[in-house]
Amino acid sequence: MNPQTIREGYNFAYLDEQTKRMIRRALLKAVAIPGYQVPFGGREMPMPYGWGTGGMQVTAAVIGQNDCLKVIDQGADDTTNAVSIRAFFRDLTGVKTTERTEEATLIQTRHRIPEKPLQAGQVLVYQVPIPEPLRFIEPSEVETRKMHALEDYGVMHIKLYEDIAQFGHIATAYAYPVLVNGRYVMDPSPIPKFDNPKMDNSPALQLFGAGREKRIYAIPPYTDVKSLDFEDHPFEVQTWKQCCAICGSTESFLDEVIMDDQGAHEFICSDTDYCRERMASQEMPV
Amino acid sequence: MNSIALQAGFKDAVTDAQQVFRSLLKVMSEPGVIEQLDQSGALETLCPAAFSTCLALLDSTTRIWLAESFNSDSVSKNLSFHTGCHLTRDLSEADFVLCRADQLPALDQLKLGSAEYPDRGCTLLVQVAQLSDMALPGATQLTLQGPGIPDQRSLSVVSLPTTLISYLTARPDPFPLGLDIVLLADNVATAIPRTTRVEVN
Repeated sequence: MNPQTIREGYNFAYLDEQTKRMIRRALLKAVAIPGYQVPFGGREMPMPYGWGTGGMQVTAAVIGQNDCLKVIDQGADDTTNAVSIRAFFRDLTGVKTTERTEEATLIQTRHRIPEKPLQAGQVLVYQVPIPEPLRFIEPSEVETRKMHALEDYGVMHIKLYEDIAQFGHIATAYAYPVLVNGRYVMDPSPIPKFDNPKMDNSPALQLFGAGREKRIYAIPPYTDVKSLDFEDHPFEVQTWKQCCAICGSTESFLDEVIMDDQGAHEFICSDTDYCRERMASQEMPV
Repeated sequence: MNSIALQAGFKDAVTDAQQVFRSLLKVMSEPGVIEQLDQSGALETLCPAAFSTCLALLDSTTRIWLAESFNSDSVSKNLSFHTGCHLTRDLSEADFVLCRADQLPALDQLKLGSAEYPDRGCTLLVQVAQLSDMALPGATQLTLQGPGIPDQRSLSVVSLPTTLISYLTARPDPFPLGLDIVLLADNVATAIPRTTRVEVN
């Protein structure tokens, strides 16, 4: 921690202590009931909804002087959202920041899980737009609450089945619903389904914050997280024929990038830290 | 004037509250793990871990029920002064229940929340004599399984009351309802949330 760089006039990590306590109590209940959405008194943050206000409030309630923070946006450390949120917490807490997954104790993410396996002791904070996985099927909160209470998740399977009836396979590619600890159906936030298997029995603690919808939920470490599927249509992740145009990886999640106006395109790793590290190791003289 | 001595709380309110919370988050998400919790001193008969937990979690929006031995003028005044929390004598409305192991209230009277809002249940803070991940002499040896635990974890608790043991092994409230229990001993803490399956060895 470097006290010289902390911006004056704000409490540590922006939020006031009363708000942090409220969020902390919600977080403790969230980890005690894995996958259940705990309502909380979401505050206005100095940025618009949809930019990660929920994730930031969770991060602000959790972060401490000894943390090392990494922020990613779609896997990248260097895009506007990631750079801004990292700078925000650096300026208001003075904590160390990093782009290296293995160095971070706290990782706030928008829509990706890092390629490098997370370790015990790390905390992953997801930014969540719509926390309710049943919301697009049932608009009423009263009803969806009841459905969760009764474990009435048939409609979710029908939605996936309709994909199969229409396209021949489950076409849901992101925000793919999961069953947590065999009880709650949960929206994993709009991560690609490629990342879903990483949530299962992860040694890291996973926290989810939805600012506009004012919900917090969590998955403790070593918890079963199963992607919904059917016996004859088992869950599958995306694959690519191409490899990363920069590092050559065939195992990471790839973004398609348009190169010119002639339709030329390339695929590159979405996780910039993973890609950079692979490049560095390839360039190393043997 | 009848004055009651106010005692120091956290030295650094912001940092200490954050560290206590991180320890509580750790033990609640990894049941049976034991964390150091001594950011404050003891408050009368409240051990440092119990007082630190109160300071970190309570405020004017929470209601706490104190067991007989903790319900002294000094404890209630100090808790009110430092946190502004409401002390209640009605078990069914308490968000937090703080008791010594030998003065457990009737567990079936605690707030449970509802199937729609299971998070509204009470958090039970129990001060026990000793906690360890090694087998202690004369202690209850528990084996824990469930979320937050790879395979299984053992926990040894001295002075764990039998009513609590039978609650933990029977789990009368069907999930997602249930009590989340934080065990506090001197300057350490662990937790057994409602998802943990408990066996007594």
